[in-house]
Amino acid sequence: MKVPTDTLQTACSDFEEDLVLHYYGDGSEAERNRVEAHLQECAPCRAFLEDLRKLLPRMAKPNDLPQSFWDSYYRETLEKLAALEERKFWWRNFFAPMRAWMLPALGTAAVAVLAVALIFTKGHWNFSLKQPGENIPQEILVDTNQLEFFKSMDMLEALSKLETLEGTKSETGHSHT
Amino acid sequence: MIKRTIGLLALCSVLLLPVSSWARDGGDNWGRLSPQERENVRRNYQRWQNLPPQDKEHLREEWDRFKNLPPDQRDNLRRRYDELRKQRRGDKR
Repeated sequence: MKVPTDTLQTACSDFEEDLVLHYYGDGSEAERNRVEAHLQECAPCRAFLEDLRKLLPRMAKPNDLPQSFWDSYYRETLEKLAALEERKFWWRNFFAPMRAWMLPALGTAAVAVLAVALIFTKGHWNFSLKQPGENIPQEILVDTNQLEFFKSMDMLEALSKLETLEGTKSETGHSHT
Repeated sequence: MIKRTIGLLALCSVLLLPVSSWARDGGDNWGRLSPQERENVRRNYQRWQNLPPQDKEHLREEWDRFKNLPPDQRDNLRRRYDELRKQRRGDKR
């Protein structure tokens, strides 16, 4: 008993393409007549054409898939696209739970906090690239009064003498030796 | 939305620049001194650390007294001190 298979019979190699075209009705009239003439005298090519007639309709026949399949396919495609979009803009996840007004509000609050911090830490910021005073505490460097004091220290040690020279020393002032 | 927020933050940062520079001013006293003045402050601070407490107290009192003098007297005293210092340097040479 012959077992049907999905393999095509072997045709003449010169006519294989022409037979396929012949099956689809393509080609010129002369070409078709040439193929018809060959088919009458070539059994393998006839068998090949017969196989084409059996197999090609099966191959071309579209699967009639149920609507549920297409619904599921559509849903999965959307989910994949959403996942792709999410990976592309992963940083948006940080802000996703926030409401639309929360982000600008938090940003403004952060700026306000920064401003307040700058105001209340006035004098403790040292952005300068200049070399700071070695071994001099920061509280002296940022305090104008302290800096003036250390600038004037030599003069202060001689203040009484200077006042005597100037004749400006007050009666209540004490002397320094 | 995100672009607008970033723009808003950038605008706020620009507006904060004056505050930032104002905050820096306090820390820039040292930067405004001349190299000679810095050296002088360094030297005096090191001397100050080795002074006995009574001398420190005395200098603080002299500083308070000097600050309370009228500005013209302060200027006269500074000028006199500079003259004496220059004179002393001239004598050494």
